[in-house]
Amino acid sequence: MAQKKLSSNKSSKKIAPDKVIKAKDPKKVLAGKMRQATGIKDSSGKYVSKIFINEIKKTILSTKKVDVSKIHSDQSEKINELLKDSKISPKEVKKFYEQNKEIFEDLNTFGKLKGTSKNKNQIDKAIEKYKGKMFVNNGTETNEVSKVDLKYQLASFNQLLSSNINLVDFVLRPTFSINGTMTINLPDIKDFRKKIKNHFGITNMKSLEDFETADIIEGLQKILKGYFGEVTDIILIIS
Amino acid sequence: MTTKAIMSAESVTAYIDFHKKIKLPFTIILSTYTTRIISDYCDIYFMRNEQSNRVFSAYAKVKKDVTQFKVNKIKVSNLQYYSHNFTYDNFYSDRIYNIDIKSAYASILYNDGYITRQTFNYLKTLPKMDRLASVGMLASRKNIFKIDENGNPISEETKVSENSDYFFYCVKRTSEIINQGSKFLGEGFLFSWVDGIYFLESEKSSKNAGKILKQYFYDEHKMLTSFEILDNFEVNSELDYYNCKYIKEEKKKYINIPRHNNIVVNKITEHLLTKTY
Repeated sequence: MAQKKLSSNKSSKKIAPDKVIKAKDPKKVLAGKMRQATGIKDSSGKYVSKIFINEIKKTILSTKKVDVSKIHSDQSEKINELLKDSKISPKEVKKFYEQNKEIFEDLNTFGKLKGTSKNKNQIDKAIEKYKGKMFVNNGTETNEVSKVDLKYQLASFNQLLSSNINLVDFVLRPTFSINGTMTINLPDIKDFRKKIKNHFGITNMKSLEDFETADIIEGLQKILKGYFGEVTDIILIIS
Repeated sequence: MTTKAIMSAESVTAYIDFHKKIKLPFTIILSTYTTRIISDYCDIYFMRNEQSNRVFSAYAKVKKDVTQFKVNKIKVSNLQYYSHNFTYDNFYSDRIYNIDIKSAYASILYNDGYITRQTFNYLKTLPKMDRLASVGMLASRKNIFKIDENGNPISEETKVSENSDYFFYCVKRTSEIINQGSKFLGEGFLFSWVDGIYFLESEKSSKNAGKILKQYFYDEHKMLTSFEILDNFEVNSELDYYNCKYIKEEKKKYINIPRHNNIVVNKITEHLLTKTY
């Protein structure tokens, strides 16, 4: 087998001044080790951004009942100060992230997170305090809406279903984005009414009172899936 | 003068569309049981047909009684209407059992001294939904929208009844009693839904079911209960909820039980809801 020819002048090759390997700075070595211990990597192995880590830190702080609502994600110093005050170590931040990686990755990778389920009153309160932009997905398009618009649509949806059905409550699951949007699945009221009538073969919503509750629930779920697919993010609680 | 009418989705929409067509601003007041439209043209009050005078009369009696007593502030976000103990996402059983508290909210108000025997007896004469409405009106919540001449909402105000805590007290006490009762059933416990417990036959549940009915609900809490056998119980898991189907007295029944919220998602949601963008 042919051997690879070794370079004859290898030992005498001069090293360019800019290639000289300097002794490692102990401070930097320590910082690297710290980063390894506390740095947060995503599934692809990349470190996540500082802004995103700050978002995670703010989430942890809010679990400790620290008000971070007015602190922006680039205020690292302030956030770290609050962490220190709350005795939350960088290792704890990393552990919290690791334990809930899937949730945070959705937020980091797709910029979106399916929030928790909220009933009508909770949604009303959420709309009141939300400071971002709000959107309604009606199954065919997604439009930006004002607070009052969204509340009106929700109240009308409630009114439509509680007029002739024993709707006790409904639960929605909004989708949030990290840069300040909240999107709610909600059908257009007039179109929804039309679809209900078509499905049950009725001309007046009052005729729904003649149907069994189980059939109404099954029918409404089917209609909602027609709008939003298998996961509608709307749960109807009907007595 | 206010005109009273029976609520139907069509009639309410007809009034809204009419105002939009003639470009007349109006105010619409929406609540669970009623809708009212006020404008220069009309003042019409829609109510569900089962909202008989007896419901309003019962509500008046309940309100008069309860407001003579103080009730602690109830944290609504802590109220629990359901719980479950499903081991599998999809599950079937030929037969399960159900214990329901009869007239739960009314019984709580009576047993805890908030309403008189007379009011309690009056409530018991009402059909279930009317009884619930009579007590539920304590926590009435109205969304008042001002609508402009183009039919667009321009302002909203929410009015919550100052007597809400009496109703939420009933919810809280009911869930406490139901949750405690569920614990006697051991692994047989499947789920609870407002004032009812649903369970499978198991060594512990079979041994304890009778005791729960007699000693726990009746002797300890002075609650009357019903006991039912439910057939063909089936749980199908959806992403956000469990869809439970069963047959009761030859009728199909459905209950959608929301899944418990993930604590971390809840915290992140709260954080995203309150942060400044």
